[in-house]
Amino acid sequence: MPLVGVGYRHEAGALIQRSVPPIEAVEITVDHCIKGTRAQREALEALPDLCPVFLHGVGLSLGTAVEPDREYLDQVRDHARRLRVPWYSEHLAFTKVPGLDLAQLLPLPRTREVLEIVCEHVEVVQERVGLPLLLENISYYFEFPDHQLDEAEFLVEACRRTGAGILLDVENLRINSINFGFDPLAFIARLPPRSVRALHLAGGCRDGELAIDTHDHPVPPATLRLLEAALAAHQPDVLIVERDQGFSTFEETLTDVEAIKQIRDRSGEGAAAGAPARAARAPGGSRGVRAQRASR
Amino acid sequence: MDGGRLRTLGRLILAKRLGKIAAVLPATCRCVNRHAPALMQAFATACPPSSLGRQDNARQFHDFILGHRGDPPAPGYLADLVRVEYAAAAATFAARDQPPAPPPAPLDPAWTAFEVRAPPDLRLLETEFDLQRAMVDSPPAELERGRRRQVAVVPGAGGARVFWLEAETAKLLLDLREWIRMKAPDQEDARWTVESLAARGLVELRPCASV
Repeated sequence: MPLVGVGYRHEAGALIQRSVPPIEAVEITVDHCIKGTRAQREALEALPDLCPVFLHGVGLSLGTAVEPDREYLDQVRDHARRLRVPWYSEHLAFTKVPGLDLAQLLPLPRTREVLEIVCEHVEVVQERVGLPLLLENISYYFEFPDHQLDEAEFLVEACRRTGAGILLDVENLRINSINFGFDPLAFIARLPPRSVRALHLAGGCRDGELAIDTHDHPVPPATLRLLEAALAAHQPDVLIVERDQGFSTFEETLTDVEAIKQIRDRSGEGAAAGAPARAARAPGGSRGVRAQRASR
Repeated sequence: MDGGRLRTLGRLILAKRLGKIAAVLPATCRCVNRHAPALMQAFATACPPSSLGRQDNARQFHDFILGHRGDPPAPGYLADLVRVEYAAAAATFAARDQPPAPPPAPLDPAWTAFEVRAPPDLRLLETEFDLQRAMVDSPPAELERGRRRQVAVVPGAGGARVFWLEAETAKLLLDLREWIRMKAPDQEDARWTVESLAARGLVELRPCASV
């Protein structure tokens, strides 16, 4: 069964460490390792002794049409080794072009040319970092005209061609489905079985009629329903609650963790009762051992 | 493309960027938000972000304010305020990546002579404004120019420290850029002055090397 964890944030570091368990895993943003202070890096490097750790990035800008930054990837690789993570995840997006960094995940023009570029970059990343890459769907507020592929098609094709996995952000999916009027369940149904290796869940807000991805509210019921749908078709390793602000109400995050665990446990019982037995995933070395420890 | 949504996205991106800058330069941002809000948009237009880091964005804002030539208008003390605040922030960032520094060595009563210098990373700035009045929740629209004062910024464990100095203390620190040998002071007030400067990290002390 997947572990249920939270995205690590320094502002809530002590709260998070004290809350293992019920928190079963932690997702670290590799850019916090690279840019953080000594004290922050030391705190992050101590986390694998506490619970399984997963690695996520925001600074790669996979869709930018220049070679991925190899120095950055070497730093990712070094931190991945120290943290003993099984894979590395990043966004199917771009944030910068040479000389300009908006620090905001932006949607890609979904053309075959851009798909080629992304696939080349994914292969470079997997080779350089030495780990599988998971591609995350982002929330977006505009689309480029003249798409040749829809979002699910683009994501699935990029993963099929490179062997990358999917990190499905069900809150981003819910937001996009509101803002662009499509069926999020249909999106989930188009993802190849067992391609989703991880999920993100979060809570956002509204700006007029626009749903916004702010990571500062509890996970809404509609997002939890999407989680149920995803768990019916996939066997992710981990489910991560992303909360970036409002840590004085950490109880809300722990409430989210418990709610997700209940959905996970129900989904696991359903799978055990009705589905044919699936071959167990080969444990990833120490990750398998840590997963067993967390389930005690 | 939906222009309304693009504007919303632009607003969100700018708010996030200004939040990063305010985390590094809180007094400067309070002053600008209260007395020169148009400056924020002028900055965003003139200086698109080149990095996602807080310090880089704060440095861009610092450079923009120092290069600002009055349109839109801004409080007269703003340039000095951002200079002091950024110096403190930069010193804090630099110190956080170093191993913790040992506590400053006191003046040992057994020394008959010692060497003293101002720390190499000490920064001295000048201002004619009483900037402490601007580092509050409700900064004033203007400050009167007064006598020139020196401000020392010292990196330290847990964050940089800022000291408002008398002119003769600042001159002393400027004269102490290199190690200088001194006889141990006989008089208590002279000894107290040296110890006080050392305790605040404004000077470093060491015994004279044996011959």
